[in-house]
Amino acid sequence: MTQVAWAGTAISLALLAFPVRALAYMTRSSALAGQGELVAARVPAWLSRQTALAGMGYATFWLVLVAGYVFLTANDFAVQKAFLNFEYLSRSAFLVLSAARINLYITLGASVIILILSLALALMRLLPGSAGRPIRLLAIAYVDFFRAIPTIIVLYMVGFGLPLTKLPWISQLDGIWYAIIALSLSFSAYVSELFRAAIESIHASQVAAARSLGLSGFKTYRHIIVPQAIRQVIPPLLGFFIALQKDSALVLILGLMDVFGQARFFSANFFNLSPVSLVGVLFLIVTIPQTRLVDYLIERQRRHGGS
Amino acid sequence: MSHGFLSISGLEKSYGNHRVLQGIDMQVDRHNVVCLIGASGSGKSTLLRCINALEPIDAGVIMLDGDPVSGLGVDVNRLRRRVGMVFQSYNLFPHLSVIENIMIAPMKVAGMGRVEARAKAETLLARIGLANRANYRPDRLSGGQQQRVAIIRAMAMDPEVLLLDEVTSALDPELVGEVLDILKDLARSGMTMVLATHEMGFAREVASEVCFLQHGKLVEKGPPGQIFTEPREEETRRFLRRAL
Repeated sequence: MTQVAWAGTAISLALLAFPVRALAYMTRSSALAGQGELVAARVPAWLSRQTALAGMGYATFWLVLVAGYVFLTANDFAVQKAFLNFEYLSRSAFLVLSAARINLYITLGASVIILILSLALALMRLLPGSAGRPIRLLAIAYVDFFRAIPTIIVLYMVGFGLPLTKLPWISQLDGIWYAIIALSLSFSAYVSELFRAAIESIHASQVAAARSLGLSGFKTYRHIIVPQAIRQVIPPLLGFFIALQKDSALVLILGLMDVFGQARFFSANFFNLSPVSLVGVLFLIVTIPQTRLVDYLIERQRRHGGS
Repeated sequence: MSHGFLSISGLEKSYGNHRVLQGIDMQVDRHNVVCLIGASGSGKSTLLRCINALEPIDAGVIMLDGDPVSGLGVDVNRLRRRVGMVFQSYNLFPHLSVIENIMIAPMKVAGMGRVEARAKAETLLARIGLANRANYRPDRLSGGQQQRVAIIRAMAMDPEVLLLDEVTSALDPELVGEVLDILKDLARSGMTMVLATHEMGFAREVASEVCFLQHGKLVEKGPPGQIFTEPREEETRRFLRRAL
């Protein structure tokens, strides 16, 4: 371990090069200023400030790194052993990772239902006129209701409530299906608002153009408004899709052996959290590329003038 | 009531307390080109939108070839197949290519097959010299090109009358000419047109009749030669002094 200590000390000392250089620039600057070369003095002064700022940045970075290392190694590596024990990791990895297929099923199943249900809700909420009012109210009530209730409670109610109803079929579904239903109910409320905002953002002149060509109200929605809205909605929709993947870990409360359920089973046996860390790493690997993709899509859309 | 091809009588339209159109009477005969002139806010655009039933009217009658345009029981979608409209800001559909913009109404409204609609759209595009832009997205075209596409998009439905709402007002000056040339072609081919326009030179050259609107009233109408050289009304004279 002394090597680590030596290396750490060496890097810390190397960081002192920044303030030393900054001081050197400053001295040169004041020398020039002393000779009355005020304009020329500004260059080393600027360099001095930049060097000092860079030094602070690198030092902060290094400080966080050292703090993390100290935390992991404190108390004879207690933290590292609790979260990252490689023996436990390797013993649980196969079963934990293969349990991730439950999360995959739930996410994919719920995504399909959410897309259909939320678009339907958005269109219901945009129905015009007094004839549309009862349907609008239904959609508003649904969205308000499911946005107000925490997802985990919906999950709990559906997962444990529906089997108690003794209704045919509905009470005898597989646990995965209750998870899919609950997550769909909850997420559709949020996603429908996304669709509604996108549809409302399509300018009225598009409707005027479509109607003036003789397209009916329905065909205007079908061919002009909804296709444009869907294009707009793709990046934020992917954001919700990522959130859905992460929230699929909530199904553990139904006793499903998903990736987290399996990891918790191991961590309770080992009395060690390494299997759960593995789940965390898995989500990192899956999620980060997707968030980068979303950022890229948003950036591209912004460049193309939002349409 | 006289019987023009398009006949408007006693048309009233208000937004809240603001009376945008106050008793408009006018006739448009087949193959005629009627130019609506007047300051911004005089009601030109609203009048056009009423003719196309994009705005409900409060009172009066609009008849197209003897069929009422407004009121209960009017099939607006059938009406609009007979009336084409072109807007100031083109309003092309950004998610469709140029040729799809032209094809969509013939296919989805008139029930034309894809092959036939494409052939028709290609013919129309060739007529305005944009055949090589068929697969472009509208936002890659210049304003003038977009407006030309918007005009033939309306023409693809073979309308009996074409309404044009200040179609050159959003264009850079050097692009106005190419759009006006298309309109002159259409006028020569006998298209019935009603235009709201600020292009007085164009109105003078092409119009069969010029109507001057002010504060929602049709102040004066007549052949362009008379309106532009010896207007009867003082208001028309004042407007033309500022506009010319």
